[in-house]
Parts: sequence; C-alpha cells; structure tokens
Amino acid sequence: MKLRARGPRISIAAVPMADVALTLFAIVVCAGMFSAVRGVGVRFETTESGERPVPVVWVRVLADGTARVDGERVSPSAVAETVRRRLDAEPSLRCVVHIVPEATYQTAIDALARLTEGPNAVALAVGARLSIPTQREVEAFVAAAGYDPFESGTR
Amino acid sequence: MTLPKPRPLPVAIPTVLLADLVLLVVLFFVFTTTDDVDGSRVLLPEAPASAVAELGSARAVLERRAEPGGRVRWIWSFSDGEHRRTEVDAVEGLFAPVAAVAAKDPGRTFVIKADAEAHWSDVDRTVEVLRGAGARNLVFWTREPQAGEIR
Repeated sequence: MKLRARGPRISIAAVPMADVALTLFAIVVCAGMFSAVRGVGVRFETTESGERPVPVVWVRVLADGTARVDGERVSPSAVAETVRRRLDAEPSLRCVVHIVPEATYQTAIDALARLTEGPNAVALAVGARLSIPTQREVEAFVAAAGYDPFESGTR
Repeated sequence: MTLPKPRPLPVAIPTVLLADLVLLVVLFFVFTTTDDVDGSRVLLPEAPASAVAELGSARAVLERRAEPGGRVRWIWSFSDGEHRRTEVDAVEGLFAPVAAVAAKDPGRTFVIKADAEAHWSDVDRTVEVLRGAGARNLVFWTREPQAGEIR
C-alpha cells in the first residue's frame, strides 16, 4: 500500500479570535454605559385647562441648599424624606418645587437629585407627582393667588 | 570546544503581540473618547442621576467664558447632536433651532449642559425657551460625584 504524506493543515484559529471579539464587545458595551449622557430627567406634561386643582406640597429650594416645605425650614438632607412622608400619607398630593433664581445650578441639581433619586425619590414617572415650575410661572401664580404658598403653605 | 553554529531566526511578524497591541490601543481610545460633539468645556454639576439621554441628543449649552479684566460672560449655544454647536446671542436665540429639531422629532430628548456655577435663573430661562419651542423630554446633564465625596 502506498501512503501519501499530508502537508500541515492550514486553518485560522477561530477560538482565540472569538475571545478577542467577545472582549472587544464587552469593552465597547462598558464604555458606552460610562460615556452615555446621564442626568436628572424631566418630562413636560400637558395639562388640561380647567383641570381640578390638586392638593400640593410646596417646596422652595433656597440659595444655601436648605428648603422650605410648606413654609417650614428643612435641611437639604431632610427635604426628600419630609416630602416623601407627606406624599405617602396622602396619595393625591403633588409636590411643586420652586428653586430660587439666586441658587446655583449645582444647588438646584442637588435638590432635584435628592427628590428624584434614592430611597425617598418622588417618582417622576408615577403620575407625574413632581412639578418644577419656572420662575415666571411661580410669579404669575403668586400674583393670581394673592399669597405665596411656598412661604406659608396652602391657605 | 566548538560551539554549534547558530541557527538563523525564522522571519515572521509576531501576530499575537500585534493583537495585544491593537487591543491596548482600542482600550485607550475607548476610555479616552468623550461625547464631545458640542465641543464645549463645561464643569457639570455633580449628582447621582439615572436618567439617560441617547448619544447624539440635541443639547443646549450654557458655559462660562472669562473675558479680559476678570469679567465673566455666560454664553448659550446649541447643537442638534450631529453638528457642532453654534453660539446664540441670548437665551431666546435657542428657540428657532430647538423648534426645528422638535418639529422633526417630537419625542427627541434635549440635554441641558450647563456649568455648575451658573445661576439657576439662567438655566430656568433655558428650560422655559426649550419648553416653549416644543421640547418634551429634558435631561439636566450631570457627572457622577467623585469617590469619597458625599453631597
């Protein structure tokens, strides 16, 4: 019998290539997660005119980071918990947050992050229970109501 | 004593080393690349935040610019997420470009990229213009607090 000598088999090692591809994929996914734009999210809701007024917890964030909750001075770290407790006690309540114009953006973000993140988060998605009116809207409301609920609470 | 004649080294490109090198280069680029389509230098406020805007979101930028004499000017600019930002004279100048983007895609997320030291009054006016122009979803861009720093 005559045997024919075979040359070496030529092949591309696919297993190490798959490992490299998997590593690259994992890196890209991780890097994508870290490079994404993250922040405090807000969704603008449309309101019907003539909508029934709802009971409100009025929160005014002051320039030093402290806040007034229905007129009562509260430390920055206690704002979210105070609001959360009131919202839990009364499901129809909504929270309206006014940030004074003199506050820095960092102070404002601190307050919003405390209200929207963590264990005392006032969920923005659940029934839109948190509103952040603009300065112009607050001024218009105070002028129309004849009193400032952020300083004294609802009359 | 006679030493054996040295064998010539085989001529080959070490592909494994090359692959390692490529992997390191890819790693380097991936971790050093930032989403810098607007090209602005803004010190973002720090906050643990979970809302995510898609890459390439339209963004309104409020940045601080130091001028000769120690004065500080606040500059607004806008980028639709695809092109580099263009500066506007005042916050009202954001209205037209934002309205154009919102008309094309009403569900589009707009990002506010503002300096942490800006006054809320300026950010508040930006929010008002964006909402007036038809923006529905907004993300205040923040950065993660540094390790060991509790705000």
